[in-house]
Amino acid sequence: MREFQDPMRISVKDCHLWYGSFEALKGISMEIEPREVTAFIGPSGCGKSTFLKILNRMNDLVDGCRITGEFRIGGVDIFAKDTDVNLLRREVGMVFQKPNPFPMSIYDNIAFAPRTFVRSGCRADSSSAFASRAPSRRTRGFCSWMSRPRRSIRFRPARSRSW
Amino acid sequence: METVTTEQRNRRERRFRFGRGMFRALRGVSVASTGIAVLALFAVIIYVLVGGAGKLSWQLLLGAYRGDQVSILPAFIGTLELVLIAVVIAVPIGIGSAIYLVEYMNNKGKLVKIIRVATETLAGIPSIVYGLFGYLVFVVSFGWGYSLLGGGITLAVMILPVIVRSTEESLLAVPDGFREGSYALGASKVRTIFRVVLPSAAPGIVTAMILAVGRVVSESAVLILTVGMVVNLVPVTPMSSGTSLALDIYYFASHGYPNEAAATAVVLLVFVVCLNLLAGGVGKLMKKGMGET
Repeated sequence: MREFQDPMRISVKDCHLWYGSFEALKGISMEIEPREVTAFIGPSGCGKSTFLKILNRMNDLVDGCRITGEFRIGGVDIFAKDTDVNLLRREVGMVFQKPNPFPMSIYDNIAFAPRTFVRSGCRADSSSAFASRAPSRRTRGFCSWMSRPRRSIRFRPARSRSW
Repeated sequence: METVTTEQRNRRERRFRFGRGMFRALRGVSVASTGIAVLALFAVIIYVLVGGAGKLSWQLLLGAYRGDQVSILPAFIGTLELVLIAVVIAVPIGIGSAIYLVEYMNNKGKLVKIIRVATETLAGIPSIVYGLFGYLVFVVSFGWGYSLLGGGITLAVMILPVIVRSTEESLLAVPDGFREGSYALGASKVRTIFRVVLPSAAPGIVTAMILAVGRVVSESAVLILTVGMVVNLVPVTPMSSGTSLALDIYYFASHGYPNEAAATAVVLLVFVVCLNLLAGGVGKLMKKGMGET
């Protein structure tokens, strides 16, 4: 099994986030224990989604977004220079507010993630922090499972959920 | 309730009649304008058909060009080669540029503005100027003389801004939600572009490509100056000079074969109409395949 120092503990220290010159998150620190369900409740526009998006680095896609603070998932600094963002996003799953299917068949929609996962899970770059562990038994087994043609897709979602 | 005088009633009546008359007049003018436009289109088609239908024959289409026995077979081959060269050059460069502008530059930045201005300017240049460019570069400077390759490259430069622009529009039309969904699943940027964004934008891109081909086929000014107008030689290599369907029409018309010119025009018209129908049909088909209504 893949080893982490603190299995999937999320640790946030002094998080600040700016959209341009507007400070949206002001000094947030928190620890989320493994297997804990945490709900963020607040009025519309208070920064709930913004904070959550930091955890899988989806704010990288937003122009002019600046983030400071320390963020660790499973003991690994997610903003480190050698962190593989794509691997992070595969490990930290995100469920969208609105259904967001691709313009493909249902099969291709469901198979999109396994195809991505298998493609790089089996060829992990050894220099990235997340992949410095040896491929897990589950990953290897999963690779061989996917390479055999099946008609149904059964796969467990990513191991960690933000909420 | 005050009483209404006869004078007031008459005034109201006149105003009403005037308004109604104006409405009818305007409607008449609009209908007449539409009629003239449609008439013009039909006039062109019918005139060409009448003049040329008689001369359509297998000899004209596919025979060998011997003396007075004209044939547009060289034009067919030449047009095909030109389309091939122009498309092979312009499409990868055009689509690549559009991808860079939209997906990597995010449509922002100074460089994007410069490229945008350049593209729009290029799109507005008269084709004869492109022809002159091709002549000065390929025919004279490179010393190729009249060649299909020179013409093809010049045409590629001519349709490049069109392809970049329409590919850009198609890419921008892809909802950001698709990209976000793909990134959130851990797909890389390259995978997102090629597996999600491009397939989604494909109908628009393909349509634009087909219409660009239509533009290539219809072009004449560029080709006169770069390909020459050798109507009796079936071009074998891209370096040889040759002719195209549009050029043949000009040649036949100005050298005493008006009916053959009309016949060639019929062929060209049929081809362009089919191309446009194809563009529309392919676009619809691909959209249906993606489950969009």
